[in-house]
Amino acid sequence: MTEGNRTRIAVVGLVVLALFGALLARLWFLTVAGHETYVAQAQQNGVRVAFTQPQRGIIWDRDGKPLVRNTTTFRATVSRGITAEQRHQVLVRLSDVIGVPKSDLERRMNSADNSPLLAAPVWDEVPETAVTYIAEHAEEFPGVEVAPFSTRVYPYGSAAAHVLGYVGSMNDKEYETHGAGDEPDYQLGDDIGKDGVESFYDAELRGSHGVESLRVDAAGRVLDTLGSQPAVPGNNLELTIDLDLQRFAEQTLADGLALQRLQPVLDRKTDEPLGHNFLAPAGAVVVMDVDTGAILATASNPTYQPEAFIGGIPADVYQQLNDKATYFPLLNRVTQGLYAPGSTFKAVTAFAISDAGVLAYPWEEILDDKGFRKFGLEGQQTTYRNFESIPGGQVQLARALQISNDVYFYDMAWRIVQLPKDLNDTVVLDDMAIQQTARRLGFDEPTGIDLAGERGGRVPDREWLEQVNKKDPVAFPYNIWLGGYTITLSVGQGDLLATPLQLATAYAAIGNGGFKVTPHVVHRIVSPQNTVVREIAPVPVDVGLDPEIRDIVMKGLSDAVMTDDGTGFKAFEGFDLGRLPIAGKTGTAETCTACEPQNTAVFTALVPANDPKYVVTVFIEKGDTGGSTAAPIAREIIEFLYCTGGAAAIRQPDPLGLDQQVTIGCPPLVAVPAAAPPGSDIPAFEEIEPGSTNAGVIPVDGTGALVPGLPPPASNAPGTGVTTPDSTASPRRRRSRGRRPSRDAQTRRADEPCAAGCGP
Amino acid sequence: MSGVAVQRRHRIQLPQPKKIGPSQNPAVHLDPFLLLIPPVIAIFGVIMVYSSSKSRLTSQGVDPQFYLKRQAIFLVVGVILMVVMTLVDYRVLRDRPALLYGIVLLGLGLVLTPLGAQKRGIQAWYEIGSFQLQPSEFAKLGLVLVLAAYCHEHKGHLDAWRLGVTFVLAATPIFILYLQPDLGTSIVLTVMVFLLLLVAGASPKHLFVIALLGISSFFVIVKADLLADYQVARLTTFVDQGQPKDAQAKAAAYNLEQSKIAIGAGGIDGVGYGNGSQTNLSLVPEQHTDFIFTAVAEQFGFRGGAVLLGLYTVLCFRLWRAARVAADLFGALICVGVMAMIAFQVFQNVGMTMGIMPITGIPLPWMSYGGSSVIVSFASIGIVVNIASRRFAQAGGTTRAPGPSRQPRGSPAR
Repeated sequence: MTEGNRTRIAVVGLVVLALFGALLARLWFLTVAGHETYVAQAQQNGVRVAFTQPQRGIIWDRDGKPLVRNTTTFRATVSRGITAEQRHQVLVRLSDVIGVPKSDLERRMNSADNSPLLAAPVWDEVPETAVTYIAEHAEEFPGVEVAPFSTRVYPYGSAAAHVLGYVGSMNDKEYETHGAGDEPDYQLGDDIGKDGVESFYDAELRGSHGVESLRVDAAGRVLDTLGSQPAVPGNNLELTIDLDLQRFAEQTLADGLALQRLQPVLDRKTDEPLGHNFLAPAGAVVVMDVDTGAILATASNPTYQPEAFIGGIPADVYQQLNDKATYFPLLNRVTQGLYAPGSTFKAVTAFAISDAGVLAYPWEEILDDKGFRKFGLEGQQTTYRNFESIPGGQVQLARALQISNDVYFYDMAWRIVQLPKDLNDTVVLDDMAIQQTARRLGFDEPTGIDLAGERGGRVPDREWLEQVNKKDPVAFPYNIWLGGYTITLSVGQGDLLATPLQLATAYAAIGNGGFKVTPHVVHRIVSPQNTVVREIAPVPVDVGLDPEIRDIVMKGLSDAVMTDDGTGFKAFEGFDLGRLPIAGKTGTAETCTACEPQNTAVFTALVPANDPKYVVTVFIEKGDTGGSTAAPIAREIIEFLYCTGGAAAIRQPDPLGLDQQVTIGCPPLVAVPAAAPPGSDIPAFEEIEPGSTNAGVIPVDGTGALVPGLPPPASNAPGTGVTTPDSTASPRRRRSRGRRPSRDAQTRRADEPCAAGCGP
Repeated sequence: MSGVAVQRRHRIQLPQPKKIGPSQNPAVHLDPFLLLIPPVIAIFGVIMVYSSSKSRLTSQGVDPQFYLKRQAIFLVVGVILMVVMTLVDYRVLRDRPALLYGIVLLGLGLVLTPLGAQKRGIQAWYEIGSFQLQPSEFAKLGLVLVLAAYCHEHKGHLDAWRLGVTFVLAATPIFILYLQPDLGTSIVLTVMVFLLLLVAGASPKHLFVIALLGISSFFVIVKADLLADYQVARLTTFVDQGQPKDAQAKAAAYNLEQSKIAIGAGGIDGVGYGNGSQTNLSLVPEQHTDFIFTAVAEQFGFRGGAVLLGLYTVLCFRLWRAARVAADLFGALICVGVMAMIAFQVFQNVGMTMGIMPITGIPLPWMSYGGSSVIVSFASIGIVVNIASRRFAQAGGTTRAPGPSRQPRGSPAR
């Protein structure tokens, strides 16, 4: 060893000392100077905030039958942070443990509405044994989490599907509209109502997320809970819908469409068969309380199973539900279907002509109708004809409605067109009277029903024409409102479009004496603690219908059903109109003039005619006439409505074991010896036993007296004699020209025990 | 300070009658600091290994004392080996450098064959029962001994040729380590060899060239894609903290971030043993091995960390002193090598946890979990204690004549 060596050792020592000094300085810098920052980071580090999903509210019908419930299943998710190889292995093991093919898991995992920011759900119904196994062998399932998860259950399948709507994962757009995460109850991966009341009342139904502050380790394992706030379940909805009537209406509509598809299309002039049947692809039914706007039933066909949306709907299935070829099953035709209402609109025109002053008191002006009339200046006249050019004879307003006379309304419309104009040819008196009255009755704007996506229809007028001409001169080449437009409008044709619900609302106003109701399907919002949060009771608006005209219109509508030359009479043959008088209007809207006679068949009824309580509206696409296609469906629904209303329905225990009774059938409302006032209880029906062979008629003894124990027949009851089941069925067969199978209570029960709707 | 203590002891010995020089008996000159500090650190290490591994092991459903027990075994084995190394005269190690070198190369080489075990892509272990033997740890000490012997033989006259020989001697095991790959140990070896040559007497000119060569080859290796991505990421993370570029960089940045949070969260006094969210939530990766210092800093704060660094400083000072008082160049170089090894590992490891050094897999001596490191560290200290205690002893058991420079010296030069 030399001194040189020692010097160098000393140098090395100094270097080491300097290094250690640097370490100490850095340690000071981190632990003392940066302490607060790092402590804050450390505190956040192991804490994760997790949201717990609340239970979505239940939806009941008006009697408390659950249309939508929840069930809790276990959902397995796989973290997106693991490698492709790990994911493959995990899926293989999961498929083994859960017992489903790996491809199914992959399909669920790749479902389009999974949030890319969250762990991907791979299976929604993990059996409990698998849940336990996965929990016990966590190391074999890296990134897998199994958590309880609440899904919707539809005990009655597709019943009221369009009213309920469906639930799905929130998409990006919905996430944005709900504050992109700022609203605590709208987090990525949450479900959201997509249609119907699920969407309209989503804020009520969804409840509030629970928040859990969890301490987790580096691997994300939860060590303990620092604090939590439980989830608040959503409010429940009590609908105005009557499940029994709803299911019956759906089934009747489906049957009616099926039946119409069996009918051959006849040539307009020759009545020769054209060699094919009616398409009748779709239809809509709405039954509404005319005083409150409460919807009792609303059917739209074709329909769908809301269940299909649980756990993400496969793209191809969704495509099918939204396809022209399947006639858009997702579309709720009651609120979204736009149709020309046809002659049913004449009731609206009736009020318009009095409003415009073209028909004067005492309103009894008689026109002589030869079946057609020419309008316009000499030399450029256009001929407007009745339906099938049948002459109407001596016609005044009520008669015109009764026989659905077109020329009467053409004439009245022409008077509106000819209202005096000033020198510049601008109108002094408003020649848009029909449009104004239509708008007052609720056309041209959504009715405000509490269902998502309602459409407002269209009432064409001068402004509208100018607008569309400006926008699209090719499709709408004229921008001058011609008198002919008003003439076609007066009978509900032309560019007029309305939803079935709008028509029902207008008729409700006519029925209740001039109050426009706001249709609604939700009766009450009920908290999970069973207190009423809110009652949905929109106040009807007085639209000011002339009471005298209203009486004439009601007479016309009543005669249309109850007199044998009324357009709706045939469908109600055999119906005990004396006990339950019915007013109604048929409509047969020609969707194109030149093509074959497949029309929008419309019937809307006000029952009972003397003091309307309900409006029943039926629309059938591409059917025959309103009287032959739509009215029979309305009749069956009215029969059912009044038998359930009278608690006389044939009931049996709920096949779903929900401890409820369901109506499976109902005796037809046919001429019976004794009848109670319509709308009230019909005690005569109470003793009908479901199994008795003469179900459907009032049991009477041989003398024609009622079975003892029942109240005596009302003295003012119309109708005579005893009706046997045979005589019940035969007139209805006649009504449908022998093509319609007998649908009396007996055959219904024998052949279709689930006529009230076991679902398709 | 310690120097004063030494002088005082020397003065006490002076009045002894019949004794002209210091005792020849090595037992009299055992350095208590060198003998006590490593076991103290190691016991502390066992405690910290337990606190940093128990929550992770518990959550894995394994015995939470798994690492604790094994590290305790390593501690006992290490202390025994240290005592053994103290007893046998270090000069026996001087005589068979070739054999020693052969063993080092063989140990390092065979680990690359199927005899060695692979873990996380690194082939650096022999599986012996349930234990792993890491030859690179032993190679550190082996290379120190070999180079010290070589330099001693040439009495520190390192001309360019001999420097070249040492360069080859050192480069071969470093290259094998690079193949494993064990970047950390090869860096430790490089620094160690450099300091050793510096003390041995290489000319500043040569050393400058070597340093230049080393630094430039380091950059070539990093830049020329000779390293795996994760290695580059770890090396460069401390340069651009906060802006990770890819997944590897992210992982390295995460390591560093969690490590700094753990240390910073400790504050002056620490959160107390067994507390510490970073430690208990297993947020710091590799905490019971390479990042053990974070457990110390989080739980015992600046004070705990400073005390630990202080212990290493005192230890290094005693190693430095042993180098200064060693009886021969061989002994002095060993002491310098061991000091360089310990000091650089501490600096590199602790510096890495605090973000002032790149992330490399270098253990903190006696603290980090790992048998080979603990045992080799103890053995190294044993040899240094041996050297220091025999600074007055005449050569024994050596076949060679003592060189002229091997004059016993009683105290550091004044």
